[in-house]
Amino acid sequence: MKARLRPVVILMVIALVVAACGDGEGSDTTGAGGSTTTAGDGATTTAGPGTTAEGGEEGPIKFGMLIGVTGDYSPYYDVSKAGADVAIAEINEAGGVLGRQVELVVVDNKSTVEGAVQGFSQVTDVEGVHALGGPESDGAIANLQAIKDLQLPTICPACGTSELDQAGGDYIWRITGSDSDGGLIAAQFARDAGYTSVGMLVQNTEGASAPADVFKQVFTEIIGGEVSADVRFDPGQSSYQAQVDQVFADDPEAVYVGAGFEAGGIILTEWQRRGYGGNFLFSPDMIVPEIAALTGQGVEIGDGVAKAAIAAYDTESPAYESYAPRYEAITGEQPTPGLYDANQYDQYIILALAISIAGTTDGEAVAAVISDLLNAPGTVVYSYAEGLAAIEAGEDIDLHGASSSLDVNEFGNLASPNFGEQNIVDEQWTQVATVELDPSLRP
Amino acid sequence: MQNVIFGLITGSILAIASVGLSMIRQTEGFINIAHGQMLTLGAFLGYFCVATLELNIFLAGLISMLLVGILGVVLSVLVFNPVAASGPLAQLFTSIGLAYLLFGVMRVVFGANVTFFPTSFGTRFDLGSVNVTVGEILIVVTAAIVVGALALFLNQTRLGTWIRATASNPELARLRGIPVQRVSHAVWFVASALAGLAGVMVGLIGNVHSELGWTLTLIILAAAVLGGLGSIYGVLASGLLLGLAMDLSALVIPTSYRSVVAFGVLILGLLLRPQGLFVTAGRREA
Repeated sequence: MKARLRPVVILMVIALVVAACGDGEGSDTTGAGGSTTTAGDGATTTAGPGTTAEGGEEGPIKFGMLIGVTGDYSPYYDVSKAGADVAIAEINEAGGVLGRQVELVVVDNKSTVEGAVQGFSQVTDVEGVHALGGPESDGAIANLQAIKDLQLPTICPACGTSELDQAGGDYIWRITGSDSDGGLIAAQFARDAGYTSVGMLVQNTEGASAPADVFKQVFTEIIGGEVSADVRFDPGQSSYQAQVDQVFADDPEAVYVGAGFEAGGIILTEWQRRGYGGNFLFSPDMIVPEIAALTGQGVEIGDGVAKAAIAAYDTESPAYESYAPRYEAITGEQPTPGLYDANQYDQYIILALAISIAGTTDGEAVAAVISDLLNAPGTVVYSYAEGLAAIEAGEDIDLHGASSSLDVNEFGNLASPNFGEQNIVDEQWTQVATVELDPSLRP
Repeated sequence: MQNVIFGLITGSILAIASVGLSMIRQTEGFINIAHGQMLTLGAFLGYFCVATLELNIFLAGLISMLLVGILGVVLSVLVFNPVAASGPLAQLFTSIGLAYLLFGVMRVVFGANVTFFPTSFGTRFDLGSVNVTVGEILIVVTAAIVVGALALFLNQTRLGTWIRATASNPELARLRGIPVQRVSHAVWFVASALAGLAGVMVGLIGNVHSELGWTLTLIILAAAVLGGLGSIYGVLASGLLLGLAMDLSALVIPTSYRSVVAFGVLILGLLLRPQGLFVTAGRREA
């Protein structure tokens, strides 16, 4: 028996040695000149000149990036990292933060809740970061309490979850629109179009129902409109004729369709077949080529009959104009709102300026200045260098980012995210205008 | 009244989709779970004929019926006949495995995208508060013609008589010299072809995607069970009944309960007539 166990014991010892060597890499000193190394457990560090990987007040200031390098979110990783790299380079070129270089520590959350929890331990306990960025919705929610307990200033660049609608503002801020903002912007479209009566056709899924409920609340309670019919349906059916007939029975001026394109496409062909007329307000899930292509098959939803919105960058902002060419130099592509690269950039500019204002890396002190940094009053600044100069001149600052104006409400949510109004033109979804969400519509 | 039109369209398609399942159950003795995938294949083939080959929708429907019918015969010979001796349970589980296999192959060949038939439903007739399009009328009329043709085939042809005889008592049919293998091939062809036609109709009314068969299998089974698995005409009637019940229920209860209504009707029907709503004589089920 002992002889049989011997190989197993040897293998275990080898495995322990290998694992120990792997962990050791995570605390290696990184090379000078902004080199990037891959450390144990998939952590990657991008450091400025002459930095060490240990935390504390003497080494570099460490910004964590807890993100899906692998798994479902991995398609977003390269562009997210590129956006973050632009920010880190900009900060270090301006002299760093509090005279210290900034180091980006990337930890893979494997696009899972479990990975996010494990990654959070690594990025805090092992890497000792001073602030955190990068998390997606599920990772942010999973670590929300830990973030607050550790008083770790955290920016969420790509968390749409409505669970964060009233959960932040103390140690976590969200600089992208909430999923429920999809309902808000649809209500804003309805208000701006002068609709007084809107029908609703919504599939029974969390992603569709939550923004639809927000739309209904805002349109009826704040705008004063009437929802003529609120028809909910289960997806996966071969026909929705009865539901479509029901929602158009009272001749609403427009119909809000909250659905995936599988059901949405059937609904639209049935709408065309029956000739109900009217206009549409679509949820973002309908902004897909398959829906636009229906106009080529005789479904007359083009030229503004159907209106929808997705997140957009303020391309006229000086921050965006400065950021875009640097991002393009790395990726060869233009910034893309749906990929959140500019949000990834903005988060580290925010954290760097917040530490500069606080004059310390103490989490509580840094968190205390973030909302003021993002909101008026103050000198409007569009870059880290501009902000740093204003701070050194003793001015209050109001940072405007590459992704948006970055104004936040009391819960740390973006008050007025930018949306691109989308219409179907020549069988393609086309952005026809940039619209800022009206914060007075928030319930 | 508009909902009656919707119910007739839904019911017509459901009837065509269910009757093939019932025919196989009646003559082969097991429930073919892969029937839904044959429907999906019909939808994909119809779409391919119309969108890629730019064929007329009627020709596309015929080609789909023919190809899916032939595939049904091939599968019966290659897959189901070899396990027939092991009994209905073995055939049932074989059909489940085949369903997954067909699903996987269709995913590879046709992809996972959702597509829509580029086919117009033509002129819409407004009759007061009710309207109906030429295409919808043609779907119901086609279903009626198919049902009529099936009735004629089963009652007026020698092969049809053999099928009914085999369905009624396979052993006796064999003893009486009926070529049961030929009957089996005919049943597989007709049942699969009807599934193919139903697939084209479902694709026309809604959309075409690889999950189509899975989403419809339960409701097809419900129609087949409600009508009495052994009664072809009962299944046709129950398909229509379920379609009408689902679409008329929208007048009084939220449409999200559409499926609940269908299965509520099924449970109620079975409580009242366990042998099936339209079965007049008792029948021993395997």
